[in-house]
Amino acid sequence: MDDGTILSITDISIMFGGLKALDRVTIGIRKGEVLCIIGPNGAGKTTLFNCITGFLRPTSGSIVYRGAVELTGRKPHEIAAHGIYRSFQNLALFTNVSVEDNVMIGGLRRKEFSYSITDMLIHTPVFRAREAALRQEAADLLAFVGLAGKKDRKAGELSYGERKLLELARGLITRPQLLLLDEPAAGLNPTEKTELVRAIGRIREQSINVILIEHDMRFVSDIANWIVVLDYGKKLAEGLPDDIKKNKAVIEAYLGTR
Amino acid sequence: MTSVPSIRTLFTTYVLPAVWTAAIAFPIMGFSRATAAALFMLAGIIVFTVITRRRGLRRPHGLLRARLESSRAVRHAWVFVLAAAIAAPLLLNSYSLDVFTSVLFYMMLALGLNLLVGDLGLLNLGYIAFYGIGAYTYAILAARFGISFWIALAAGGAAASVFSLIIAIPTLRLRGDYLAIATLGFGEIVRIVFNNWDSLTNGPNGIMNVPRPWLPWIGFLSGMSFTYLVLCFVILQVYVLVRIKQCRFGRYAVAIRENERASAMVGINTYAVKTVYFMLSAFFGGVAGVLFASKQMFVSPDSFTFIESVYVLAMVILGGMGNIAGVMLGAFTLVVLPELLRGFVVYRMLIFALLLITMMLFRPEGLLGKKA
Amino acid sequence: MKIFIQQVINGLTAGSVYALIALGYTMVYGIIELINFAHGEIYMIGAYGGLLVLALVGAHHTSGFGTILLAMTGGMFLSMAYGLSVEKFAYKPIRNSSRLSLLITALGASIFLQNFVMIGQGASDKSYVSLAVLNTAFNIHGVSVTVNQVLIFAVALAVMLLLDLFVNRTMTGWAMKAVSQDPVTAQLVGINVNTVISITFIVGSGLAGVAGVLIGFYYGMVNFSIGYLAGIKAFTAAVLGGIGDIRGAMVGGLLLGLMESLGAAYISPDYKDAFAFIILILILLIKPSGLFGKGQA
Ligand SMILES: Nc1ncnc2c1ncn2[C@@H]1O[C@H](COP(=O)(O)OP(=O)(O)O)[C@@H](O)[C@H]1O
Ligand SMILES: [Mg+2]
Repeated sequence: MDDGTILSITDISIMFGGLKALDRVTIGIRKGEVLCIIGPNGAGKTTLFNCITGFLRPTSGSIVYRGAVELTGRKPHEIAAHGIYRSFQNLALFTNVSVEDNVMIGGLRRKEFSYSITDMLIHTPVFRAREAALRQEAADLLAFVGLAGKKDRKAGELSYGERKLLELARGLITRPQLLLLDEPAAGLNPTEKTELVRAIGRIREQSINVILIEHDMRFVSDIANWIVVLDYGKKLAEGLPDDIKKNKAVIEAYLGTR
Repeated sequence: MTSVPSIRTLFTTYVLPAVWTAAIAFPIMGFSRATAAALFMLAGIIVFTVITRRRGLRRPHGLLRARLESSRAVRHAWVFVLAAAIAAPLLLNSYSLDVFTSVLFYMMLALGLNLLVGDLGLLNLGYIAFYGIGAYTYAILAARFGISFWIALAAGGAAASVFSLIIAIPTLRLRGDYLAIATLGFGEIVRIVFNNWDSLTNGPNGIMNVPRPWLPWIGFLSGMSFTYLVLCFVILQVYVLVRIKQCRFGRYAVAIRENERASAMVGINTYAVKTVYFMLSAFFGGVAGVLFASKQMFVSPDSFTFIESVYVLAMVILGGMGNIAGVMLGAFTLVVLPELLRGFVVYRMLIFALLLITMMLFRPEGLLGKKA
Repeated sequence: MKIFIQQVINGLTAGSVYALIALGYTMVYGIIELINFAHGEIYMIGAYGGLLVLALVGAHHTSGFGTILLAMTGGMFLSMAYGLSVEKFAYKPIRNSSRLSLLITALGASIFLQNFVMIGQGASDKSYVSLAVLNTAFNIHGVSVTVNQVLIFAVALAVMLLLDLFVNRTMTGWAMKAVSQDPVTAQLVGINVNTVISITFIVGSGLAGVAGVLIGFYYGMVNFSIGYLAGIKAFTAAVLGGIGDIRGAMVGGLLLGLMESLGAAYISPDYKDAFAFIILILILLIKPSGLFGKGQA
C-alpha cells in the first residue's frame, strides 16, 4: 500500500531508567516533504533519530518505511541499506582520513561501484573503472557542497561548518531516499547557512525526503513545510511553520513559562 | 628563552624520582643494581623532558616516513628489499639462514595480527593460539595420518579460521579491552589443551617426526629451499594484504577504526567486517604455524605461550600499526636485534618491555608511522 | 561429602587471595578504566617483600604471629611503593592517549616488573620459612583445616571490611567514588583527581601485597612468574563480580576459588587453570556487567 507516506512513526516510546525520553510519539512524513522537528534541549529529538536509524530500540511502537518495511529491531547498516542516511549532532567523520576518502567510503556499498575478489586482487579494468567512477562522484558531491578545493585535507583539519557539509556530502553519495539531519545548521556562520539552505533545496528537487532537527526558527521557516514540536518526549504540536510560530503552547515550552 | 628552572622543580623532576627508584629497587636488586636503576631513571627523565619540549615541530610525520612518502620512492624501496630478500639465503651461513627464516615467520605473524590491531584497532592477546592451531593441525595430520603437506597446509589455515570464529562471534560485540582479555583467555585455554589432551597432542612432550614440505622434482625441502618456500608465502601474503588495503574491503576497516557509528550509517556491517578480518588474521597465523611445524619437525606447547603473543604484538607496534612495511620492519628488528645483543640475554626482556612503554610514550604510531 | 567440604575449604582459601588481588583490578578499572596488567606483578613483589622481611628478622620454624604480621606489613609497603611507581612513571604520562596505548603500556609494565624481579632475585623458586604455628591442622571428621587457611580467610575478611569502611565512610573514599563516576565534575568540585588516582593505586597494591605474603606462607615459596596466572585469575574474579564493583570483586574472588577447586576435584585436575579462563570468557559473553551488575556493558 503506497499512499505517498515515506515514513510512519506510530506510538513509539522509549525509557532510560525512569526517564521517558519518548512518550507515544506519532509522526508521518509524506513524499517530497521537508519535515522539521523542533523542541527544547533534551526533548528527545536525537533519541527519535536514534530510534529510526537503529541505534536505539524503542520500548514500544512501530516505525514503518514506505508502508512496508518495519524498521524497529533492525541494525543501523540494514536501515542504511534501505536508503536512509542520518547525520550526527556531534559529527561522526573519519577524522584522520582525507576529505575525499570520507566521501568515497560513503559510496562503497553502492552496487555500481562493486567488484569481485578477482578484480580486486589483480586490478582488472573493471576494478579501475569502478574506482574511478566512485572517485568522480565523490568529487562531484564535494563540488556540490563547496568543498572541492579541500579534497586532500584530512577531515579533522576542516572548520566546524565545513565538517557538517562534508558529512552531508558523504550522506548524499549513499544515494539516500530519506535524509535525517540532526541540527545541521548549528555552529554554522551565516554564509555556510546560506550554502546549506541552498543545498537542502537542491536535495529536495532530487526528490530526496528530508527530516531535520533545528532550533533556528528563521532557518526552519525557510525550508520546512511541516513542523513537529517535541517537548519532554511528547509531541506538543504539529503544523505549518506559520501556525507553529503562533502556537501558544509552543511559545511557552520555548520560553519555559510553566 | 626558557627561564632557569628553580631548585624545587629540579628536585621534584630529577632528584626525587631517581632517589625513589634507588630506594624501591634496593630491596629487590641490591645496592649496585639499584644505583644503576636510579641512574637509568635519571637519564630517562632527561630524555623525556628534552623530547617533550621539542615536540610539536616534528609530529605527526616521522623523518623516515616523510622520505618514504612519494610513491616512486616506495616502489624502489620495495624492489630493493625484495631483491635483498631473494639474494639473502644464497649468501648466509646456516646459522644466519635460521635467523632469516625466523624473521620470515614472525613477519607472517605480525602481518596477520596487524589486520586486527593495526587496521581495526582491536587488541588480540591470544594470537599465538592460531599459530599453534595451525602447527598442531599439520603435525597431527602429517605425522599421524600421513596427509600431504599441501592439503594439511590448507587444513591448518582453515582450522585456525574456524577456531577464530568461536572466539570472534561472541566477543566482537564486546568493548575493546574485554576483547583483549577474552582473546588472552582463549590463547591460554588452547595452550592448556595442547598440554593436557595427551591422546591427541601427546601432552607436554609434543609431537615428533613432523615431516618437511615436499615438492615434486625437488623432494623434501630443507635449509635454503625451505627458506625460499617461506619467502614465497611472505611475498604472497604481502601482495594480498596490499591489495586488500587498496580496495573496498580495506576502506571498511579504516572506516570502522575511525568511527564505528558513521560506518554503520553508510551501510557497512561492522560486525561482519570485523569477523572476516578476525578469520583472515587467524588464517595467516595458521598457515605460518604449519610452516613453523614443518621447519622444526616437532611441535610442543612451549612454543605458543602468552609472551609469544606479546612479542608479535610488539612487532606490530614497533614498526607502525596498520603500516605493512612498518610491521615487517618491526618483525625484522625484534628478531635480529636480540641476536646482536646476545651478551645481554638477561636484560633482553627488560629492554623489550621498556621498548613497549617508551614507544607508547613517544611514538605510538610506530617507527614508520600509521597509514590512514 | 568429605571431599566436597575439603574442596570448599581449599577453594575459599584460594578465593580469598583472588579476592584481595581482584580488589586492586576493580578499583583501578573503576577509576581510570584501565586493565592494570601489572597488578599481578605487584602481588608477586609483595610476596618477595615478605620474604625479605623474614630474612631480615631472622625468622625460623618457631617464630610466631608477630613475625607474620611484620612480613605482611613489609610486603604491603613494598607493593604500595611499586604500585605507585607504575602509576606515576608508566601510566600518568600517557593517561590521555588511546585505550590501546594504555593497555599496551600496562602489558609492558607487567613484563618489565617480572624481569626486573627475575634479575634481582633469580629465576628459581625461593622458599618461605615453614612456620610451626601455621602448619598446625585441625582435623574435624576427616576434613583438615590448617591455621594457615584460617589466617588467610581471617586476614582477607578483615582487610575487606576495612576497605569497605574506607570507601564508604571516609572523605577519600567518597572522592574516589566521585572520580570514578565523573572525573571532570569531580575536578570541578575541587577534588584532586591525580591524588585520588594515586591513592587508588596505593590501596589496591597494598591489598595485593598482603595477598602475596599470605600465598608465600601457604605454598611455602615464591617465584618471579607467579604474578601472571594469579593476576589473570583475579581479573576474572573482578569481571565475575562486575568490574568496578568493590563488593562484587570480593564475592567474585571467593566464587572463582570455589568453582576452580570443585572443578579440579570433580571434572579434571589437569584443566584446573583452564576453568578460570573458561569462566572468564563465559561471563564476558553472557553477562559482561558481572553476576551482580545491572544492565549490559
Ligand atoms: N542513551 C541514553 N541513555 C540515557 N539517557 C539518554 C540517552 N540518550 C538520551 N538520553 C536522555 O534522553 C533525553 C532526550 O535526549 P535527546 O534526544 O538527546 O534530546 P535532544 O532533543 O536535545 O536531542 C535527555 O534527557 C537525555 O539525557
Ligand atoms: Mg539532540
